[in-house]
Amino acid sequence: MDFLPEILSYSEQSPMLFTRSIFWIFFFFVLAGYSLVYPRMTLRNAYLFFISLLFYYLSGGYFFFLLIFSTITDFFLGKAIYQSDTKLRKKLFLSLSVLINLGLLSYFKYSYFIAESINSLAGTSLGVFDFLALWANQLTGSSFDVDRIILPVGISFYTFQTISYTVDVYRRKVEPVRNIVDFGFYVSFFPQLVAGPIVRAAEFVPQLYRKYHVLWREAWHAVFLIINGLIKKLVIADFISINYVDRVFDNPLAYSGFENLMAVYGYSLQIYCDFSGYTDIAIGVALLLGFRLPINFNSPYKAHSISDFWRRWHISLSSWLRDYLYIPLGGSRKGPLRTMVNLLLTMLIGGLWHGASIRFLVWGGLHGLGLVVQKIWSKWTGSFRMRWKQGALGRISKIASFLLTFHFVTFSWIFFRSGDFETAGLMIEQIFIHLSLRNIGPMIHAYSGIYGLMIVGLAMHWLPDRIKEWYRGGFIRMHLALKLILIVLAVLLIYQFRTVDIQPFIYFQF
Amino acid sequence: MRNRQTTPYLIFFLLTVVFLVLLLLALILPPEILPGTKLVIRIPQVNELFPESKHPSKTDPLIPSFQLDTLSVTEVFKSISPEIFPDTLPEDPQDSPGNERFPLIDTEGISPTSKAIPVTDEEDLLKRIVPVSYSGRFEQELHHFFQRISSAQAKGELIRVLHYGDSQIEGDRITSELRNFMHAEFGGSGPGLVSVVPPTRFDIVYQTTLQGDWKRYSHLSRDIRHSRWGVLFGFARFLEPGQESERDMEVSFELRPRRGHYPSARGFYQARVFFGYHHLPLYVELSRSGIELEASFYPAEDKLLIASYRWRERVNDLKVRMNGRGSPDVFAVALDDVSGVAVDNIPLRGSSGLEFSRSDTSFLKTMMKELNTGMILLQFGVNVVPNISSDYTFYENSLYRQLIVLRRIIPGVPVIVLGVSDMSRMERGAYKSYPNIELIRDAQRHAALRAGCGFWDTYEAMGGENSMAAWAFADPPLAQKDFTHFSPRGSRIIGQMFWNTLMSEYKRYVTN
Repeated sequence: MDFLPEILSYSEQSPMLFTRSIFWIFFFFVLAGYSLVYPRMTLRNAYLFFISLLFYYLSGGYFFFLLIFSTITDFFLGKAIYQSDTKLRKKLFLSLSVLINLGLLSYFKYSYFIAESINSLAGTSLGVFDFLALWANQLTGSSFDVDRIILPVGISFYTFQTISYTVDVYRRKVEPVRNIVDFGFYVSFFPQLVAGPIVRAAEFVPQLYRKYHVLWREAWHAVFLIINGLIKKLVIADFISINYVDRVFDNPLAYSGFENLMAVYGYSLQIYCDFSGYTDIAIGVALLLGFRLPINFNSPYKAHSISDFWRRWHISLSSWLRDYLYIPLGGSRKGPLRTMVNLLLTMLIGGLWHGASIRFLVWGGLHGLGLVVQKIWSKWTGSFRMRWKQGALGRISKIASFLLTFHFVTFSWIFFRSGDFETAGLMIEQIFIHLSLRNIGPMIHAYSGIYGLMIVGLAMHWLPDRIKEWYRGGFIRMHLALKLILIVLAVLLIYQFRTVDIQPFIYFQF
Repeated sequence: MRNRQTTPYLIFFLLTVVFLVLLLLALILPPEILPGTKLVIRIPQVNELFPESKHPSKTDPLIPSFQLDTLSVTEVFKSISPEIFPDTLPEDPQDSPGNERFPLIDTEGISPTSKAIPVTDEEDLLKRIVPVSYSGRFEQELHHFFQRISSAQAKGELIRVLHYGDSQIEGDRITSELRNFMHAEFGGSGPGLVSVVPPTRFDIVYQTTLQGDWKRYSHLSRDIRHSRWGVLFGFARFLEPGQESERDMEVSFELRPRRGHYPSARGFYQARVFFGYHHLPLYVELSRSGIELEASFYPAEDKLLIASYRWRERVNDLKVRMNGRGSPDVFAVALDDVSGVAVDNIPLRGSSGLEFSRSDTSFLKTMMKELNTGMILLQFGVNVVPNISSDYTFYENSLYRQLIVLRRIIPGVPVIVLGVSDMSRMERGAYKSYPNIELIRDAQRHAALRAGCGFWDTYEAMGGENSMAAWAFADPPLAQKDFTHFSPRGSRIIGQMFWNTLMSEYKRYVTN
């Protein structure tokens, strides 16, 4: 039991993540406690709220005070919005909630970006100052660095979640949560706290007042999601990242055009497996605790258009942006030009949500432009497309749109992943100017393990849904002993990939 | 069963069963099944199921605050017995290995023999001064070099620093930092020596646009029977060796700077094309923007020739046109200032720095003299690391032979060996330094000191054991995820750290 204090103390070097064995030991104890409290709803919610705060503390340290602050303000503002009898007062409280949430997010996430942008435009030398650290130092005598603002874990997710709550209360789509513990539980529910999905109050709050009800097949579905997520993250994403993709993105000119191209494909797979793997685990863990989280990824690289991609990729974010940004901006109701402006604006802000850098703006902008071009294309070719849908031409058009969408999305990832614009430019130059088939045979041979894994990963992704359903269902229906054996084998497989020696640097040109 | 409801304690029970099975496997199976084979199966161990040890991870601080267990410079020196220095020439009694003066470098408050140097970020790294250890007449040679470069501009002399290395310096990494500082401090401009056909696709300061079937031949080419490779260990030809064209061939190469390099490297005042050993007459023309600058016919020659041109203003591009029925060996193009310091990046991918003795040393000497070489830096070692051994005497002796060759070719020119950098491998889920890094580092140090050269400990500069993992996981990363090579940012830091060391000694030279 020597490890208990280590589990229960925050370490910047080893934060609590689903991908670490420490999380599963933590979850083991959480389940033990949950088994005792789950029949009593109030106790259950209080217990999970406490566990979530502990999890947040273990993941992000003392920033959990910020989470509590967000919880308290939005709880009371939600109530105030609901109880206000005039529209003006409602709007006032809603504005206050949005201002506080976006203010916090902007301060912690975008201070550097804003300061640097002003500095480069105005030639000033503005710096940042961590008021939270100053306050903590004054209050507790700690010695946090006040000249450095650290991004609190999950702040982008829970601020969007609390904004959706107050807006939904304002729109009368949801009633305010009855007590602050329940609300705190909704805001901080640990499986989705750090990396989503962004859960709407309307979807989650009713579950707070329902008894634990999970069927065996749902539980095994949850286990399947967890194993699937861990394999996506640890076997595919981490392995190709550390052994190939990171190296090429670190130094594109050290690699040929072909290697650069493969790295971009690799990154497409990596980011999908990384992000969707994490949310698969979150959905699975939440389901084992009796809570249903919304699906967040639906084979996004099967998309046939950019809008289709965004219906499949990070669904909880794209639907959030649609409902709380695009539609309030006017959506498609104010004419074609405004629609395009709204699309661009939404995607630019969506890009910036992913990170405080011009690169993310460019990434979002590219997707915005993609959506605008798609709108124009759809308008121009509306009647033709109806005819194209028939026969061989339809099939060709479908394949072409799928390939075009996949490559557009893959291309845009270059800006998302590259350390800076220069690297992105070099990578594009290597791919589009210096792509040569020279040495391609030895390269494929040397990287056979990595490329093989990439092909398997993408092929699995592109498998028809019915096949995926077939093996998922097969797992659920399997005999209990077989399922346990498969779980242990999966753990062993993951362990092999976690511990396999790194692939050596490969020389191709002497 | 599938439609029956479950409960948290049943799930808890199942999780317990999975844990118990894993625990049982850990207890009854060995840590590795089929060890040493490609089919090795690793079994999680009990201690790994519980909180992981604190090996560098993605969120670790840049350098872990551990006790450097590398030997300090003084200790290494004391551990070397004088009899292993047969080739050092202790003319001055003070130069004998037993009387080495440490620190060579002004340490500005940091003891070079300190065993515990906790470093947590880039700023701390740049504050560290890792001294150069040395023997023989190295200090005098270094000071003579300082004397030459400090008066180079006044005397209108151009002095070269040849920076040889393995893939660690490819793409002008580390060299570019040194060059930039050298240019700023002692004058000079231009990228230095440029290959007509670059040895790798890596980022280079100058990019060549080739017209004609130019090919690179190097010390690794099997179809070359001689070893007249020149200082870049390679040359370019537009016809294969021994091949003659029936009619005159017109070929050219154009040099233009690539973006993203230091401004001082992106322009030059003089260009020199080093070529020769053509068996048929050759016409060589240097031009810019279509204007001919210099053009000559060269009869068949079996020697090194130089076609050159000087400008009054700084220029940044050059076209070289050649016309003939046979190709010369084009060894390099030097794009430099007319005075100051030129610093050349010479990466030899896959090398361990053992090629000098296999080269045509008289030609190497001719070229090095022609280039007015003032200092040589050798940065090798990472290609030795994957061959794990408990004894690196063979490497020490081989490297020593190379250093002796260099010292014979260009006597009086200081040679500094920049030691092997840290390199990591995965050991049961944790990135750890290769176990032989320190042995290789020590072999390099011994070789350098035996040959009367300087030695700068890159491994110690990085932070010692496990520093590569910390550099790779730093934010922003200072090393690539092959856990072997520095990232451009890390290269700049290493370059600056080495420069700080040189400048500390330069300050000492100036004040004395």
